[in-house]
Amino acid sequence: MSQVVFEAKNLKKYFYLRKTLKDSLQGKPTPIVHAVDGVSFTVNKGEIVGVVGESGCGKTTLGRVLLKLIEPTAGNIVFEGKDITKLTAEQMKLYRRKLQLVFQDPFESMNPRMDIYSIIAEPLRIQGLDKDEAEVEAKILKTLDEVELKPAEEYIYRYPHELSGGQRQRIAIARALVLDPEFIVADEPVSMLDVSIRGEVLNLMLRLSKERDVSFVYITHDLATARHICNRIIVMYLGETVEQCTADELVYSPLHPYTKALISAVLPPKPQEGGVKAILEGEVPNAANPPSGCRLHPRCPIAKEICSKQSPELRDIGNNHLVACHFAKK
Amino acid sequence: MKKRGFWVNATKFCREFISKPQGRLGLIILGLFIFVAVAAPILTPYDPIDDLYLAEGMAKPAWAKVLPGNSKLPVTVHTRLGFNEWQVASGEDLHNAEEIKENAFAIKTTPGEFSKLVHDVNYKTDPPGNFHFETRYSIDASEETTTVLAFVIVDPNGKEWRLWEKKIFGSLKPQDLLIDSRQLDLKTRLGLTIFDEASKVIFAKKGQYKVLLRAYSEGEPAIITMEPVAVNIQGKLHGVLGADHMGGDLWSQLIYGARISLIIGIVAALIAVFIGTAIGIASGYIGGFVDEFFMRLADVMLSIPTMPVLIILSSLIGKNIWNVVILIALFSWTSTARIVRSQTLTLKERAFVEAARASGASKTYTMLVHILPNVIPLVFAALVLLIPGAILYEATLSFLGLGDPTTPTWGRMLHNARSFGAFTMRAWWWILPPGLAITLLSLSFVFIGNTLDEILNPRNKERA
Ligand SMILES: Nc1ncnc2c1ncn2[C@@H]1O[C@H](COP(=O)(O)OP(=O)(O)OP(=O)(O)O)[C@@H](O)[C@H]1O
Ligand SMILES: [Mg+2]
Repeated sequence: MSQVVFEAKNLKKYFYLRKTLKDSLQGKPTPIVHAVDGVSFTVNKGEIVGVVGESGCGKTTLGRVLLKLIEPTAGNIVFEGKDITKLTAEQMKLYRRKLQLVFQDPFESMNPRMDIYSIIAEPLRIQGLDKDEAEVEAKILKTLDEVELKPAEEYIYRYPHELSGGQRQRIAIARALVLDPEFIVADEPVSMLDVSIRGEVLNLMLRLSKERDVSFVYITHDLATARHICNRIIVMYLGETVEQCTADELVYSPLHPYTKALISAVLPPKPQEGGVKAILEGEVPNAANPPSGCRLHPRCPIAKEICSKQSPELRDIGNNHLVACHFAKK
Repeated sequence: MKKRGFWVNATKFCREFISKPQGRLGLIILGLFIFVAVAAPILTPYDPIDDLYLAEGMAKPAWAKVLPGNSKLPVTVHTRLGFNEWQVASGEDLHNAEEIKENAFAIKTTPGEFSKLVHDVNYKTDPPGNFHFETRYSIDASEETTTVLAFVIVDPNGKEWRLWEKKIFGSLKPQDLLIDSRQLDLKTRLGLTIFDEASKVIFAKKGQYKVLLRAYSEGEPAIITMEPVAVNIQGKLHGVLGADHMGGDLWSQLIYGARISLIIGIVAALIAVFIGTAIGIASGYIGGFVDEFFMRLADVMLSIPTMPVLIILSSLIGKNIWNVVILIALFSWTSTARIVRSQTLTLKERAFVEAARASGASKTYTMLVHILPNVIPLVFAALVLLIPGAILYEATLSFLGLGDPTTPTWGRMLHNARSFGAFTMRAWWWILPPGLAITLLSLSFVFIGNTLDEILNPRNKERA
């Protein structure tokens, strides 16, 4: 269980925006969006790691960087002990069999002109594993079975628009699974689905991680679902990790004020905190122009002077519980 | 089973298309033109370029006879006199000679007697411009036999005009026989001066004329074999739409023009759309320098006034129809490239493209498998909308005399009409049909293109 499959080391992704003509004449600097700003974590075999945060905090960008769909600005990605950060597209191709992706919107993620069979067969074709058509078909049927679309034969010649959202998301997972990957990034895979289907899809991920030892990075803004299936959770705020620990510890003893706010938004407040909801004030600041010091300080209920000056380190306060707050104590 | 989705979509699409009046009208007009283009050889017996002097230059249409002042105008006669048309006047021995050519015939002479074949012509109008007889014949006879062959026209008064006569010793290999009212020896034989017009003299009367083929041999019987005689009497009334300045048939020019216009329009638009799609996808998907380069190139092409440049270029590179097509295509790809590029830019951001990349797809693969099929409907509409432009460009070039003179296009018809006085003669049957044809054909493509655009453009419709 404790074998490390995937490791992100101090990953950064900055987007350099275009200057307007006026700004460049005035000599203003190029605006930079610090979408991901120094995120590190490891994922063990068969583990589900949750990445939680508000909209715009860089979760999707992180997911794309993890799979090298966009190049990281800095940092390293290590997969099965090999640093894949600098690999070319050509060299990456083999690794792509083991690294897969599930998207938020199951309609967008499928070519409307392809039937289910072609959609699921596509990774095999791209990877040149389609030499034997009978084998391809067997593989597809098996994978459909695995994502609990039964009877599989009934689905394979349909088109995405003929399926329900839940069925489509299963197809998307099947496409990710068909190459037998070791590691899957699931970017808000259930946020577009009915509440009733969410549990089924999440349980599917849980089962895959247990039975097939597939590791997941589960990206979501919904702490409740993350807690349900994740072993560990990373809380992000404006591109930075603010807290990282096991799911239970995060929910029962959150240390960072931001995490507390997130939790109180979804769970009933605990009596020991006076029964008041910890609510953050204000809007999420512009990612292109983050606040100085601790990025949360303008919205933080416990902010002191130091918070606006000095950015808190992400420190381990014991038991692998990482938190980035000046005032965090066990 | 596998194709189910496709057929469902296709039938749905067709039903939607037919439900729009504009689309229906466009299809009907286009269908008509396609029928005309395909059935051209059935609709007219003449070749639009090679068949000249069918009638007098600038002959009016045959139906103009009913118009005031035209009732006495000579009608063009264009026929073939073969085995079925000749009557035996004397000598009896007429045979079918199908083995040489359909409807060919042979006469066997009896030595010392005249063999005569007759064909009656009722001629009741003013004298024609020229006449022209053409055939091929051979003689099979022994060395000692002498044969005299003659071609004669007998007028209503019984006067014989010997147009042609030849004395042959023995056999004769197949050879051409050509009688034309403008030939000098013909005029001399008839006792006319070179300034007389033979047809005016011979056909001066109105009534029953006879065409006579006369053979006489001495010694042993001779066998004369002859292909059907092509008779052409050039009148001032001709065919469905009259004749051009060279006596060429305007109706066949109009009909064959549909072929050319359709081919030119479609081929030029196809090339343009092919270039445009390739450039649009590459620009949109690859981006960066490639995008910058092609889009600036498109800007340049757009800002060049197309027509003047086309005029100069086509006069420089020669009057070949395919040169014109390629030139038109090179100036028409920009609109497609822009549409395709913008569509590619949105497709590129769709998650299925990223999913393919996550599986290791190359750029080429993504462009061909994910982008191309999704821009095809748009491209299809663009193609149809480019066709009328190409047709009009070609027509304009031809009208200016920069087209291919050996190709029967509508623009060429209009060019000839203008250059050879159709406008001053108010020969509207020459000017209006090609003009209307160009307009109607272009319009049909515009109608169809608009309908396609309405149905297929994602701008007009949410998720398919
Ligand atoms: N291609 C890009 N160019 C410039 N800025 C970008 C780009 N992609 C993302 N960003 C910016 O990076 C920040 C993080 O975006 P990201 O999509 O990763 O957020 P997210 O956490 O996934 O949000 P959501 O929950 O809404 O999906 C945002 O401020 C976004 O505007
Ligand atoms: Mg996102």
